[in-house]
Amino acid sequence: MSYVNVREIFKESIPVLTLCAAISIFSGFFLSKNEAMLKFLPGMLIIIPSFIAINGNISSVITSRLSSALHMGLIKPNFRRTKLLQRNVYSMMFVSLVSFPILGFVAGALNFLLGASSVSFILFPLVTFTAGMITVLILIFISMLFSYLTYRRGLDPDNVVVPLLTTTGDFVGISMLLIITGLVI
Amino acid sequence: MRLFIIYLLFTTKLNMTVAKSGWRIVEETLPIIILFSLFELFTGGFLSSVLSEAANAPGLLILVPGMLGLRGNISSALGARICSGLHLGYISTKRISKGLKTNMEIAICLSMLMSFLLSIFAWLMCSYTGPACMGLINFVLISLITGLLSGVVLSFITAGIAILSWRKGLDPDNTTLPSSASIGDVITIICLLAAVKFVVGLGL
Repeated sequence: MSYVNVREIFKESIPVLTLCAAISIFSGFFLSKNEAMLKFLPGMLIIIPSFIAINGNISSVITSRLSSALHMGLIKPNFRRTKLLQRNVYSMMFVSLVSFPILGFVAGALNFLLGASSVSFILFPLVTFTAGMITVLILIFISMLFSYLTYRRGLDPDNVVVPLLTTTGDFVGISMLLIITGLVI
Repeated sequence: MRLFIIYLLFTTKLNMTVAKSGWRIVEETLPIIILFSLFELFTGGFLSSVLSEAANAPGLLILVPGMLGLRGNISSALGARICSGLHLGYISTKRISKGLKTNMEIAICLSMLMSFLLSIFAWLMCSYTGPACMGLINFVLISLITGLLSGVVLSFITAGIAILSWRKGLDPDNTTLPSSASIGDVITIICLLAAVKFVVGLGL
């Protein structure tokens, strides 16, 4: 039996990737709309890839783990609080609690050392932490929802949910970061 | 200060819950996620040069999240499939199995196809909203060159990381996706810069 079904992968991937491409054009639009703020705060532009990378990483690790667990039959596609599910969600929350402040401090320190802008040092950890935690909570929820829905419909979450979630993560992350920065300033 | 204490307490509580049920996930993902997010600061640096390059190629900034996202999506779907394949045993780490090869070919094909589509979306968005915009042919060329270059390089890197971490006894689900996504972003943005320089140099 061949496990790699080329037709199926293409059939499942192309619609999702097209959807993702369309969504990501909107995050690009959002980014270019805020060009003025990014020029005022050059540090923010440098943070953006790191920030959306953490979101993307956390959400794709949890989705990949969920889908492997679903494939192996360790998790049933329902919202019952099983131990394995709790373990996955809590460990990802712990990871984000630690990594967002670190990113913020490093970015703040870099910004301070390079003298890129006059914004206070504490702004960066504050913004990355607040925006990050909100985004991660939203993304974990979306990840569970989408994995279960696709699995129940007989699709492979590996092909469908991981792409959709990273793109949604980019969009939610970029807008949260820019919104929170706007609020704090 | 009080917020900080609450934060510490919350972290400790979470910490204990996690400890009870297994440190393994945190242990394997946390260092990688932090390391690669700091690594992404390089992408941020290159992003500044993309911002200045955008003067020669108006509308370029709209393409950037899409290009990065697409790269990440295709290589993480590839990574996730390779991981599931390793877990289920139809991809072996001993030799280049057919399952692995087919998956990599699919990733490169998808990358070309989607770059083409993305450039058309970006051009549409740009010409409807932007004050200035480069031609459709420039969008398509920049996007296709970036897609091909980064697609080929990234497929090999993703497969390599998954197989290496499996051999080292790590769970490839925890390591492959974060690392290939971050390396992918830097490589994609370098490819994008090269493609923009080339296409602008053509002067179409």
